[in-house]
Amino acid sequence: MLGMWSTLKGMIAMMLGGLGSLPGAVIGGVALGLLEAHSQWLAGPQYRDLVAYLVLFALLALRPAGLWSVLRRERQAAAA
Amino acid sequence: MDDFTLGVLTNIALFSFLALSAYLLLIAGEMSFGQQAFFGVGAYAAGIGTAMWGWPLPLAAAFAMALGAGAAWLVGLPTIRLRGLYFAMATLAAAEMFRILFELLHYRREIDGDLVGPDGTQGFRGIRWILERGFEPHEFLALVAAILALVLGGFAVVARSRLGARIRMVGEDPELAAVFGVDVARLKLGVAAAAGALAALGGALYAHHNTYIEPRNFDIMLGVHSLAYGLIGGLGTALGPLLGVLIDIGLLESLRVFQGWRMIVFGGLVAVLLIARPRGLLDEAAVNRIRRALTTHRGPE
Repeated sequence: MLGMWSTLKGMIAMMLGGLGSLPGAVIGGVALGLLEAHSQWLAGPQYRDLVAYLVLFALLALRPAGLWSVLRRERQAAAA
Repeated sequence: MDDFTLGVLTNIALFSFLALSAYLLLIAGEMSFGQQAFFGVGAYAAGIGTAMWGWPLPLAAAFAMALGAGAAWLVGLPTIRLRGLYFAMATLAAAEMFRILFELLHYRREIDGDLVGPDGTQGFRGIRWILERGFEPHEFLALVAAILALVLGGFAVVARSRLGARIRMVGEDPELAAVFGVDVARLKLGVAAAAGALAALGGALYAHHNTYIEPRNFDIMLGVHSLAYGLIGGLGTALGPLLGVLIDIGLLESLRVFQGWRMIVFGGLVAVLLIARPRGLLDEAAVNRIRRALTTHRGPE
């Protein structure tokens, strides 16, 4: 199962940022990287994946459109 | 029958529970990549019940089903209104969380001088209730097959009922179902809980067949397979996912000809079928054709 981890990480990054959005994919990737590095540093390697999946689950439950849509909405609200 | 054949048949029966669990959600219109988590919950719960608390298997299996239904209900509560890829990803994330929690689970107790219980990534060995009661492999197979037959009977009853019609309606057109007064979210949540209980029942039996379980048994690949069984075998009848299990475990995993080619053939089969027959070999049209052929053969009543 050599490719499984990269498939999964890519999927998680994509869903975190927002499905179907190019800036979202970049933001999702950065967010996932920061999240994994910090949780591994703070709690240990087993918690790295746990935190990544937990955040993905919470985001899908609360904001299925992803991080980028949340950021964009705030920027539009600030401009208005 | 030799032990190998018995083992293969038992595995076919055991994984049929998981396949039926994924199938139940598929006909309600949701693709879950997370049913393996409830299979795992059932395996761990029943194993702890018999090996550590000294419960009889039926009680432990009932406990496992209750936990499986509860876990599936909790996962479904915030995610059941999601559709398609969103629901698939949410259930996948939940299932991976369960797998990592199994890795973090250390709960051991000394029984007859041996430390028994889940030990994180080291797994959980010594689930010997079946062996200690002197069950022969063919007797255990008969037990699992009988329970599976009961479950299939349940599916047949529900398929003919108003409940079954409502589930298929929600799966095909949730808006239309809502117009007809079906509480879509509530029905789907109930289906998810039932599917969780079914997966947990399979897991409970699986743990007692293998006597040893580890978190890796319940990884994503198991979820992908359980979903593919219904998609290959067909969504027109509860026998469809069984056909899928039969093709995968009965042919690809067990025959020497396919050794090493299992995943290639399996993946290819899924790809071809998704294009040629998106609802599987025994899809609704095929089931209707077979049913009509059987009734005309019998003649008018």
